[in-house]
Amino acid sequence: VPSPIRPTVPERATLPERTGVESAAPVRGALWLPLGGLANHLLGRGGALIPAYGLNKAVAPGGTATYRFTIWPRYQATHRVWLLAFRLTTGYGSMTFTDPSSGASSWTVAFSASQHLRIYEHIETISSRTSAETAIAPTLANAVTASASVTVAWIACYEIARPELAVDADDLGIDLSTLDSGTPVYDDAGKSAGGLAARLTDCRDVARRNSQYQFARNATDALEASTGSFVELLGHRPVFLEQFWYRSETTASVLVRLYVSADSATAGEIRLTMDSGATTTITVPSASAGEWRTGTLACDVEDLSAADGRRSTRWDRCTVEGRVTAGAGKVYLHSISIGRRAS
Amino acid sequence: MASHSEHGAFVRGLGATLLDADDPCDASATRDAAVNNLRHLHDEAGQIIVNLGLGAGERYEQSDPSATVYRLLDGLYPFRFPLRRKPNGDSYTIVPYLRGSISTGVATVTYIVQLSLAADGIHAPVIVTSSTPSLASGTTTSTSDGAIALSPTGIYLPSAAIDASPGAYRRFDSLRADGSMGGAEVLWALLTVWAISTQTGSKPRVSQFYAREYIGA
Repeated sequence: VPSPIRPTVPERATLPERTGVESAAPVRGALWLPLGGLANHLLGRGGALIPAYGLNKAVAPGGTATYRFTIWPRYQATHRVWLLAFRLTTGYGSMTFTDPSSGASSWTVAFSASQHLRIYEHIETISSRTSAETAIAPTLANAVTASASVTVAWIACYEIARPELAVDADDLGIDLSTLDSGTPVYDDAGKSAGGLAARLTDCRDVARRNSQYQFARNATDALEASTGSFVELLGHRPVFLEQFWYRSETTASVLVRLYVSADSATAGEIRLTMDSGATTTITVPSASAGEWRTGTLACDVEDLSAADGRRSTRWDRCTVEGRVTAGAGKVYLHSISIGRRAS
Repeated sequence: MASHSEHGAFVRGLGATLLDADDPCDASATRDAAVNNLRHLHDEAGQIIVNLGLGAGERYEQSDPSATVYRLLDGLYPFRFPLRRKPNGDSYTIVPYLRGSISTGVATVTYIVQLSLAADGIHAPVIVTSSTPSLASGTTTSTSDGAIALSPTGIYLPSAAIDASPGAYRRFDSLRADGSMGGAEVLWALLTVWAISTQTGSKPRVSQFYAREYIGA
């Protein structure tokens, strides 16, 4: 039951009925109140920042690994939950995770014959909330005193839902008490019918802040290309399938962010090609010490008439390739961040 | 049923100045568009849960396969995530995509993708039937990596199963509107890949796993 005084975030959406929108039907709280609740749900439910991605890379005793991601956060989120899967086959390690807000957690990871499944959670209290695209670089360190390398199997991160939102220009909450039956209709930020209507585009913008794909490795494990011909860098071709927004669209443009570097006097290119045909090529600057490069790429959008949402029964997969265009050294791909749709 | 919105897509043209103080808020077209667009956003609110693969030549493999019980693959441990629910109480459908192979020899490997509540713990599935909509399965006999045809193509948790599980919701700290610390209720779920091989010398392998929430089906 929505709070009468605060913009609560329902855990489950209630869909407003369309029966209240026929021409000449009166404006009713029975329509607007569920609309406000649904808007708060869409704004405050959090979501995936980093879909689980595979690493299977070890951190040696005394070693530190830095994983760089570009994320598209929701301002509404105040906390994140990081999920880290570790594996080792002998001995023990002591892993310390430091989140982007500089909070840290430590765990002892030990092998036993009956249990080598280790999944750890870390709750990050976000120190600097923003809705702007952000580059983050959490780290994992294995203690010098550890007796074994610890393999990081996979990493994922979710923004945690809010129980309530503030009615301000950042949280964008809707004051449900101003939408109930018998209340006056007016236009004010986050209040009444006018305030709700003004939030519609905000709801859409927040809804697209999930990521399609994240892949990040420590610099020592970066993917590399050393020839003048394109070579495939990943051992898999990740699937991208974007939200369907507008009638008749079959593809949509997603944001591409690559963290790259290059050896001295060496430059190159990274090319992403979808099975559906779209492609984008991103330059690796000469002798880059490490930087984010940007682009866009078109991929399939969901087909809501299909049982599994695929368009044309196709999994639209992305081939990631790299090559050297100048110099005798190598170019490196550390991270791939694929956002939700660009527009 | 694949779409909750009347028009099955966004209605364009709803700007921030809609329903300003002097505008008629009873215009049915305006209300129709507002209802349609929020319902469509709800349809498209699904998350990408897993989009996982490794570098060239790398794969997840079962180090200790069994011919009698389903087991996990090394490193491909259950994925925890906040599962979303539809208005009817069922979870969003999870659509999985899996690629795999056997390491060597002649054998049949059967994979199962299982959706479960974290509160219920990790337990190997026994059998897939039409009455267990939270499991999908597929097989391979090939030593070459390829897509596994999973059936059904989407899995979900029925409303009754969620509501019957004590502790299905987990409470995470999160801020209230006034800045004080409150608790957000999150349906905490697991997505797990299991495998079994008819020959223990032929190890199940997985090169890629992808799963997303989808309103349809």
